Amino acid sequence: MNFLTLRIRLPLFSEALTCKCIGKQFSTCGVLGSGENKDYVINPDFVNRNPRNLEQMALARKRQGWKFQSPTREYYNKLVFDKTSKHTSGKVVHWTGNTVVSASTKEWAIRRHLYSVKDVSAAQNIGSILAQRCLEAGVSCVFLGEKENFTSEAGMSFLKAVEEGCISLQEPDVVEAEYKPGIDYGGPKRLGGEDKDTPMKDDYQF
Amino acid sequence: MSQAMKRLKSVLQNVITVDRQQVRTKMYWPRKIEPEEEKTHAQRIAEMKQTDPELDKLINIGFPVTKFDRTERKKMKHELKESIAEKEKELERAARTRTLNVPLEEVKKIYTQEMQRFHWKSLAEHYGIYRDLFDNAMFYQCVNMDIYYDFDEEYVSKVYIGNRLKPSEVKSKPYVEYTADPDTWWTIAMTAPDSHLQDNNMEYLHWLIGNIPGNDLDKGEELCNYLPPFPVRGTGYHRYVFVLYKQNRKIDFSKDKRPENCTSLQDRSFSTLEFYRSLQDDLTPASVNLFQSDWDESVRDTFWNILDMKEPRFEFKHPPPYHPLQKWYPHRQPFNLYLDRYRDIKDLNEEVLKDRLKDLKPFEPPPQQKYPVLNMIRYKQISGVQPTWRRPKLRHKYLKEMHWNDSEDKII
Repeated sequence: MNFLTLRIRLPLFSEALTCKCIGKQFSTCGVLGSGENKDYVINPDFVNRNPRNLEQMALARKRQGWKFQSPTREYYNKLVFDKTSKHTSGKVVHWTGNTVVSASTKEWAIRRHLYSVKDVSAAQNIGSILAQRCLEAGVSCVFLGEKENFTSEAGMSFLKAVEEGCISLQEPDVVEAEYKPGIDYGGPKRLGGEDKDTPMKDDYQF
Repeated sequence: MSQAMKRLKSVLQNVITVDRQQVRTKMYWPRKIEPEEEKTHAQRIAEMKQTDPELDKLINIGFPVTKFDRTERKKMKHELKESIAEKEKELERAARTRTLNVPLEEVKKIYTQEMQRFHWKSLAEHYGIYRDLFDNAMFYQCVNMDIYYDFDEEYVSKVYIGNRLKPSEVKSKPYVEYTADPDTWWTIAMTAPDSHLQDNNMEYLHWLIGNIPGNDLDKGEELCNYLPPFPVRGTGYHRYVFVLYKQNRKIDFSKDKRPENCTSLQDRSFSTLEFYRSLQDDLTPASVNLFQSDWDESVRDTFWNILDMKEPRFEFKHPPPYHPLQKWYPHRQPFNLYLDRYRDIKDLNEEVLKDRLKDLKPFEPPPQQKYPVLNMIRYKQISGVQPTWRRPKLRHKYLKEMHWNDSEDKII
């Protein structure tokens, strides 16, 4: 009855992975310098500490969820539109659950220019303000979440305003390593059933 | 008839009793936990994120947050109601015809005074600024700082919190604006926490001005001149962080002073945490802005002409692939490809090398393939003769796929 077998053991947090570039591929070009940096030794292991770097390069793994799970979890940043009977708001949610950017008619700065807080023009204006804030926060593409929220007239005008604000509504696919046969038994490797008792590592880059 | 009925009845009874005599054991779950008791993904993440409420508490090292006045807000709301009543018809018409466009600049003006500091604090946390620069001590933005670079005669490129700028846009010094009394003293620092080429936990100092009276940067003491950002090729997006500090008094910065026109990367190594710790009685962080930047052709120019050194280049290395346990009888797998998967990579490389050496003529220049597509035709001619299991291998060989691909050996 072993139907629950973990196929791939991966860390839950992709933030633990930083961009690591290893010495084999390290190279320099240019004429020999004569200044102060002539003898500056460069470390062949470069680690980029920026926690958002791999997501922007589309190298970070996306959370996959279960096969028939809805809504899908396969995104970095998700666009959410929320219209209640009292207010209209839009936000961009990171896969960890943090709200990255948000705009709402609850804010006095927006409310004072509107006629109503729950009509179509309010949704449209929230969309354009959200797009502006996204660009300021470095979010240029988002994943469309539950699509049934965007079928109403307000939702559609919200989406249109976000798109006009230069935000792409499609996230890039994850860049995966090319498959090659053969295992380097002398170097770093991940083999099934070999180290079952040793604790799982967060970072599989060596 | 009755006998036949009786026999049928007994048979049926037997069937029923046999059916009842099934062996039933308790449900067995491989993890010994029932699915209802199993933790969800969200619960597991929350458990991993759980921190000590006392030890891991974010300490506010900045100024206290001033809340907006509620009585004033009530007054403004009242005024708004009156003003809306005056132009209600106009607003309604605009809203119904979808021509009501909120003035974005005016929204921004009030937003910067009210909500921006809370949003930007969470964004700075999102970009790991407090983690990497201040060792998990946080502060709110209590002074709104405007930083912009000249783009062309008409436009400027502004620095917000995490927006992306190209290195060619940020080659010259930026303009910095904020509101401050002329009696107060300020310090501004620009650092790169991701760019260090030796120790990845250190930063490079790009710009440092101390003892600024009010908001006049020209009168301040330039401790380190401006160096344009140089995000190294192949390493992705780097953060460039501006931090504005308020001083209690005029400070003697002789320790942190760099020589004039400093281009030495050794001298520019910097740690915000050490800098802040040594002066924490007199310095209070008041504002943070950052932009992200990735490689551009102008970086090469910076390396060659300003830093006077060779330009390094990196490549991302994927983590090693996972291979499940090898099976004796793999289902629906071509056996030769399946066995290749678990072979030592040295054996495979040897095979490729031997194959290459067959055609190699040492006293003649290597043949240049004018029409590489011909390989495909040759493969098709040969594969028709070959058994089916050998065809994929031939295909890989002639089209230079998988381990037959030799393009990785060369670095341009």
